[in-house]
Amino acid sequence: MTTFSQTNFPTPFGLYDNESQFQSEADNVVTFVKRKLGDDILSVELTRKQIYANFEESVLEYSSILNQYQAKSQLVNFLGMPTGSIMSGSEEKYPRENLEYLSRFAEPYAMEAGIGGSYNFTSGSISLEKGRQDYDVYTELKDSSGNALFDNTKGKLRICEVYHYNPQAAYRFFDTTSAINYLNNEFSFESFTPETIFYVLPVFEDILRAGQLDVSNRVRRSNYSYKAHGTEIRIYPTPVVDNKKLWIKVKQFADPLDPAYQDSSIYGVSNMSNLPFGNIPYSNINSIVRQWIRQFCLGLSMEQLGYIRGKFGSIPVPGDSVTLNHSELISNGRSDQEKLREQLTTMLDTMTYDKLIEIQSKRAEELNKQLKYVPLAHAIKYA
Amino acid sequence: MSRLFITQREINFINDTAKELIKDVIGQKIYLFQISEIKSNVHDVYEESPEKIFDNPIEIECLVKYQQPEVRTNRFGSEKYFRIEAYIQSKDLLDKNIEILEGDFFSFGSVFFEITQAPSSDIIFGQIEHGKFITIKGTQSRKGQFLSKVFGPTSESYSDENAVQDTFYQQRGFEKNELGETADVRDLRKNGVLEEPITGPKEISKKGDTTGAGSSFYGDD
Repeated sequence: MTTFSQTNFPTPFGLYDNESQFQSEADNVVTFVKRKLGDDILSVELTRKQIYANFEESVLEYSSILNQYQAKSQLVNFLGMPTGSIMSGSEEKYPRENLEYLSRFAEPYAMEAGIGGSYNFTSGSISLEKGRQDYDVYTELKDSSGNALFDNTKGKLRICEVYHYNPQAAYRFFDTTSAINYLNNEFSFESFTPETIFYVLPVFEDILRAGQLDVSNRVRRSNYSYKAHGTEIRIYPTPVVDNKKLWIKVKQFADPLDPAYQDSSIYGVSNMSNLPFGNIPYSNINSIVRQWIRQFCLGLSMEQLGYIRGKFGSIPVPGDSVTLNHSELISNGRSDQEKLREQLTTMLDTMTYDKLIEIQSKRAEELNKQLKYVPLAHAIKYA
Repeated sequence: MSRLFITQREINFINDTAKELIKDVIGQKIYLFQISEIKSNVHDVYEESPEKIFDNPIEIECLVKYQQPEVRTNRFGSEKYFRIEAYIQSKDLLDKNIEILEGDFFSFGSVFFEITQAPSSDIIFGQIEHGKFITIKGTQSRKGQFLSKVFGPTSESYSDENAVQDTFYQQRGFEKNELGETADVRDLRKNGVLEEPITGPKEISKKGDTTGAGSSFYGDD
């Protein structure tokens, strides 16, 4: 009788053919399956190769189910990492947790807040004209070389910030008529001018005064503001001089596959199908699982034998015909497989990392409850 | 059925299954006594042999349709008259190189029968080259017409050694079993489709009886 190692191409995929433990177990599985199906007494019309194939399929089935559960637990940590080949060996690892997934989610918000993100803003300027309030941002917003910033391949232009503010109130802080304050305001020196006089006063006094001046500016003077409609922006108050620059920060469509920097993680792991999880080596499988694999192989073989015996409704024999037990074999084989799958998945459901945390948490609570009943040591005795 | 679905492999499967049922499960058998054309002295003119000589009996596994004996009354009183039908797998006869002819005799139990008809009765799934079985019809031979040692089993009412069969040996396609050569061929194994069973043929015998209640299944080597 030939053995696994003496057989040419013993399994369809050959994924475990070189593992010595798989080889020896495969021969034992043939005896196990045939004996369970009654070959000692009556023929079991299965070849060794068919049983080897079922054995391989059982290991692959287990490997696939386990990897699915491992993916449930670990996918979040693997997102973005290189996908690798099918045998890349990231299966069965216990990776460190990270917050990459959350950070990535938070990026757009960080960008809006001006504290991060993956896209650059673009800023340019519109050359204001005396007496003209309305400007077309799509055509008149230009870079330093005079080229329009709008790129019609990137969709809508979004205004992020318009650098068009009221003159800062501080310039009026100490001397509203001082010429130097106007200059300081232009150059943003206002807090550090030689004319600045520091009083020993509480800070709130400065804040209140600044507020008062700010309100005064807004009430008694033209308000600095703008409105955006469609492609145009309207400036308030009406410019009174020519060639003054109005600076605007804008952005266009944020292409998720083309951020501002070279990001290889975009082409990394994105879902379960490209997780770098290979097949679990048979030699790493413990006794709990090996028994599951044997039983599953038996279920597959039972179903297969049913198909073989059921090719004909009845088998002609001399003077009569007989119906073989194919329907029982098929239904029992399938239900056995189903039960085994269910048993495994039910067990694995209790072992996802989320579930483990839940269990540990509950255990801690229960432990805490129990500890409440432990009498405290007598204070005086141990004093 | 179409030849697309029934290939030689399927025919082998059907034949092997039938053999298994008949030889390894049911275990009915007849003893065939064939006329020896060589040994029998044929009359030169009539080309008949008034005294036929038979070859040694051959044990053939088959399915026997036992029929209630007909009771005939004549001037000498009443007598039981047996007719019987046996179904024999064509492929098994082919493997054993046996051709059953009208005029041959066989025994089933203690009764001897002359074969009156032995037609090929059916073919497998309409394929003319694959015979399914032959039906041999036997009528009880008159006492004195055929005499031979009786091969058991015969009846519980007899005290002969073989009157009751208390052993049964499977063949399972092995050349030999406990009883000797089997001439049993299982084509799927012969053609390398299947391997030998993981263990040898099993038996019903006293080996399996640890309590003294009678023969029972024995499967350990």
